[in-house]
Amino acid sequence: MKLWALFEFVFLALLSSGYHLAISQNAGQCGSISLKQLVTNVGSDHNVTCNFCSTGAADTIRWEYAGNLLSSNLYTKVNSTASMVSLLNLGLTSRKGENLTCTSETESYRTLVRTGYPPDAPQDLECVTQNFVVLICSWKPGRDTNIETVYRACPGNSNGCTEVGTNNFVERDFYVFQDLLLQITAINYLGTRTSELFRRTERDFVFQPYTPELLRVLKGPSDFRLTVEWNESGQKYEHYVRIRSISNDSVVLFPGDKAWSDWSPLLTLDGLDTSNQTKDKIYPVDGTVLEVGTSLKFCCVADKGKIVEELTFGDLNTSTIELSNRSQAVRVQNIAASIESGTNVVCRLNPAEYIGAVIYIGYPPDTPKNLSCETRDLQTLNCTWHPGRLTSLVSKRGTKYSLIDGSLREPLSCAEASKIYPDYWCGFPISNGSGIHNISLHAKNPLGETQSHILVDVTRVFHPFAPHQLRQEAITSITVTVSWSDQQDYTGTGLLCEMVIRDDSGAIMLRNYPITGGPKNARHTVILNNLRPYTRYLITARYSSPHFWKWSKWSNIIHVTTEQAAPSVSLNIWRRIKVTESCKDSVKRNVTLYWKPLEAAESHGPVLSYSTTWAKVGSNLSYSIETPTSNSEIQIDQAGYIITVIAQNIVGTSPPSVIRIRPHSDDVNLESVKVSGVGDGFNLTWQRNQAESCGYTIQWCPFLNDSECNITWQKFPSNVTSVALKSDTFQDGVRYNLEVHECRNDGDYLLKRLVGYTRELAPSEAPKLSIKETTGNSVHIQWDNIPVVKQRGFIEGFKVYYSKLYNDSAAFKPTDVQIQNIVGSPPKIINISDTKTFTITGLEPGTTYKVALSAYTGGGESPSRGVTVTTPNSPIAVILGVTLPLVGIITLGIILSIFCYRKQEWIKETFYPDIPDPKNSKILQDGNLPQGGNLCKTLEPKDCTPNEVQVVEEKPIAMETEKALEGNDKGEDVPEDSSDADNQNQGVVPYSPHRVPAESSGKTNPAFEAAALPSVYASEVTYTSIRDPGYQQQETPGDGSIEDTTEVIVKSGYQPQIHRATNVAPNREQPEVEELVPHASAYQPQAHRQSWSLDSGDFPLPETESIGSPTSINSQAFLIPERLLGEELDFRPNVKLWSLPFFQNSRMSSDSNNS
Amino acid sequence: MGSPFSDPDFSLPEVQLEYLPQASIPYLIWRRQTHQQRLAANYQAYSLYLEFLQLVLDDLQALGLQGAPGQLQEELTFTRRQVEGLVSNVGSLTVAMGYPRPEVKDPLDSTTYGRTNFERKVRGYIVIREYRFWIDRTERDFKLLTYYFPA
Repeated sequence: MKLWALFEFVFLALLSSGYHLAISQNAGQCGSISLKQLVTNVGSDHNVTCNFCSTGAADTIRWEYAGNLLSSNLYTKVNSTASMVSLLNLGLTSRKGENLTCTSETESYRTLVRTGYPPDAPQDLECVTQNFVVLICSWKPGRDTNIETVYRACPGNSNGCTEVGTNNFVERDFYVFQDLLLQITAINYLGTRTSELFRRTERDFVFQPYTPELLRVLKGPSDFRLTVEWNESGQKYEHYVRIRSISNDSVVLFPGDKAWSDWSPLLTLDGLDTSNQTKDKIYPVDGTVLEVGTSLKFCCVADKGKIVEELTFGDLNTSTIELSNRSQAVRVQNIAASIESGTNVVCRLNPAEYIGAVIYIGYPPDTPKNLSCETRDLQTLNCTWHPGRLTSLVSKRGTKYSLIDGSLREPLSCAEASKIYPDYWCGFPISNGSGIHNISLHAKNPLGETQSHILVDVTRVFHPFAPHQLRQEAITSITVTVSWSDQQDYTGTGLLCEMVIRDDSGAIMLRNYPITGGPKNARHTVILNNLRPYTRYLITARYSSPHFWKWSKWSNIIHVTTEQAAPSVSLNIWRRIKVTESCKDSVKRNVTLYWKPLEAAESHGPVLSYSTTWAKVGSNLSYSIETPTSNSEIQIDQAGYIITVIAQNIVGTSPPSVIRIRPHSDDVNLESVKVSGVGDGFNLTWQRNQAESCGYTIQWCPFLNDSECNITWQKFPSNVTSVALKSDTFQDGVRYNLEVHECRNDGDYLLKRLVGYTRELAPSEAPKLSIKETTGNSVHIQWDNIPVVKQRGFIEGFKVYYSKLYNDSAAFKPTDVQIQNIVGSPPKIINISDTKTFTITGLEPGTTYKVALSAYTGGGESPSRGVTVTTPNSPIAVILGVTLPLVGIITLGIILSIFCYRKQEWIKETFYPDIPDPKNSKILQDGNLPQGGNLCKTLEPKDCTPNEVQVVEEKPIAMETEKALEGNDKGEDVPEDSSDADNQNQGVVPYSPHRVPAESSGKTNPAFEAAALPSVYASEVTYTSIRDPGYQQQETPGDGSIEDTTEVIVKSGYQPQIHRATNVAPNREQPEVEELVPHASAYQPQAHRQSWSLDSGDFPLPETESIGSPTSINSQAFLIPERLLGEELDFRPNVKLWSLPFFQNSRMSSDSNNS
Repeated sequence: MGSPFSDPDFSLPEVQLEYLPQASIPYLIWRRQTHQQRLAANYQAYSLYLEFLQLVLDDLQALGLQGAPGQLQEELTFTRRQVEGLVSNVGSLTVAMGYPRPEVKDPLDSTTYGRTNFERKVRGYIVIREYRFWIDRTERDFKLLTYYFPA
């Protein structure tokens, strides 16, 4: 092949045009085709001539191309022996080429046509070495040219070029420390293209080992360890195991990339389940760590002679794949993270044996989050981070962190998260307390490795410890000196100390002090100034670095109270003057001085006393008193005075407050003027009287009761003549007396006297109303004033309500009738506030009226107070009223008398018959009179009822039971009247068919009776009976005295009717019966008592002859009259028992409803 | 220890641990034991359980589960301390009754037991399971002894 290529190349060199190859033969020679071989571009056109030797052959010519006959219009006859065919727009031929054949009858000639493309320039040179001796550099040839293309590789210049042939790789010696230069030229018949000059360094080379080849696989001493032997030559094996290799050389030896070798051919191994292994196995092996989300197959292989029964993976329900008797597999898709102790894969074998493996499924470590470092002592740098997503792997499979810093020689392995550091942390020493550290943190676990980096400037991550042992050093009234120490050696380090000073009101002052740190425990001192005297302060401090990173914690808090100082402001004082004695010459006046106590911020310490000094105007003589309270009282005469008040604390006195009292003069008594409030105060205006006014004082006091009111005042400067007076003390509905005083040189003058309410309310009380006079058609009423405190506003008028009272009952209603209750005429409104009488006219005589009165203010109407009044009748009405009934009675008497007279005989017969005479009696006459004692026969019934008395003795039980059950017994005709019971006891009315059954139903609940009867003898039975009377009775210990009772009960099942009266429980059993009642209301008796229910129809009929009588459900009366059954006396208890089911039934139904 | 070990109905009735003293004994043999035999059986069993419990504790460490506070490791350590006390008391009692102190063989041969995580888990389970049976047996042993030696 190579030779052929060389041959072609020679031709190529000859044909310098190189456009296409057309090997010509002796043109025009007889017996030839014009082109022996044609290699040309796809799409080109060519003419080919065929010269035959025999004449006339051109007429019988056939042209074939690629096995197809060409149509005759494609070729032309040149002469009788020659024909020319035109090949137009040649398509892509096969790689071997297509034959073009001209055939005549006797001759046939052929030429080969091949088409293709010129080569592309070679690209992407890659060099691989497999042995570090030879480099194999290959390139991409680009488009397929369809015809043979050969390559020439030149090392940068044309010297030393290698003709490569058709391969697209070239082998070069592997040199290091030298770049490889290579230029590739691609050549074919249709063209030549040269690549760029490739330059490849050693780093660009790839080391790809030879493809290994597995020879055999040996099982190692431990599970799943294989010893693999291979060689690198060409023997072939089949499947199951294959291998590939990659270089593990370090960077130093070879800087280029490493690539996997190709896979070795597969080596057939015996299947484990077909081999004669001696141990059971499970795969993957115990302790394998897998990543969450992996999908894989777990496989269990049993030893020879065993069968795999079951294979489970954790608590996952997966279907097993039966591979063979001896092996099973479980395919788990997307496995979930396991718990700390791992996920168990358990394989149960037969004969019984368990094999298993613990697989740990987790995540590769997350990139450490929030990595940050700081220093607190300038000697160690502590880095903390958050591990990010948990890996679910712990212990030796857990994530291991290591820290790498340029200043550290070896990576620092880091501690795990602890309680102190919820995040992970690592600390390492730093030499000089400054500098920049490039820190990288590596996280590694069996599934992977990640890292994060941080650049740390130590001075910017300085987090100082809090100032230590803060304490006060000195105190004045306005300054406090404090000191503290450093917990660490911060010598020469800049620090910023922030002081927080908080007073008792909560106001906070912040002060910052730059500090230069000192050695450990050295103290720093600062003076906190501009504080207030006698104030308690809380002081605390904290540090930060001048390059703020974080505040330290707060230091301890100290409590400091500054020293006292003299009060800083004068007192706000006011006075009240009262003339106590006024004779012709001498006037004595009492002056009460008031002042407002100083605020704590003004007094600068507790005020010990107030000093009041007064002196007559123009006199040097002054008097002085001291009081501890906030007012003082002095007596002066008619002259003008100057009074001075000062407050005094332990340090000094306040500036004096001066007030002038002008000489006594008989003031014009100003009338109070009403003033309307504005809700929360008063709007006041006044005239300015004097140009030299020294201010105004408004004084007010509330009228709460008759005692003297508490004066309050407010001072205003002299330029104010109108104010909106407001105070927290103002209350709605309270009358205030206000005074406006003007301050002048010689004292204060009263300008205005006012009275008003900040907001009027309705009076809280109605005026007291009374009737003064009543006529036939008018009523004159009068009332009293409402007390001022209860007026709660200025009374504007009154409203009078009145209406007729139509029925008598209404007349008895309380007189304090509400307005709403009075219907009738609209109220008469009296708009005069000071009138106190009113006459209601236009009334009807002899009629009762309700009259009510209320007062109203701007705030509303008071409650009303009412009275009932009846206007006197007219005389005619009185006369008629007396005479008419009188006439009626007389008339009735007369009619009655007439009737009686006429029916005299009948009345006598009816009401007063003749008394028969015994002598005329028929009995006596007939001589039938029995002898002596026989007379008692008529009284026989009374004597013959002793048994009744016995029966009735149980009545009290019945009554008690009845009461206990009454609540549930509504609708039942249970007698409650004890007189009924009495009747029965006496036997006078021995029996009432309607009542007795019902009564007895209250008396004897079958359950109770069944319980109660035996309990006379054995109390245990009582309880068992309650639960199951039907059966428990049988269990009663053989006690002869009760045998018949129990027998009967047993016989009749649940039939309580057959009890004899003699078995009625004596009275002493009452408590038990009562006690049982609540039990009876529980579910147990009902449960087996269903058979009793008449509604259910299962009520057991007595087996003995029907002694009692069935009763109607609804009426509870006996359907068969008692006397028809005979033996009345014996039946009485039975009758009672008969009705028990009803009782029980109703109880049951109500119970079941409840439940 | 995860499913299936933590499943409520889990048991491995067929699996036993070699050399682990088993409480199981035919009734008549148990009942006919002399006091000396009875005490010796207890003494020997618990002496061995001391070793096995230590083995389980070591397994726990090998499984990387020693860190969890208030859990298995604490309980096991406590139990082992109790067993130590029990062995000491039974030994004293035996000697006090005039019997020679029973001999105890070294039970553990580390090569005998598997060392995979799974095998460690199974081993722990079986030791605790059998230990419980032994406690029941001891309780009845001592009931019987109190019957013969009322306080």
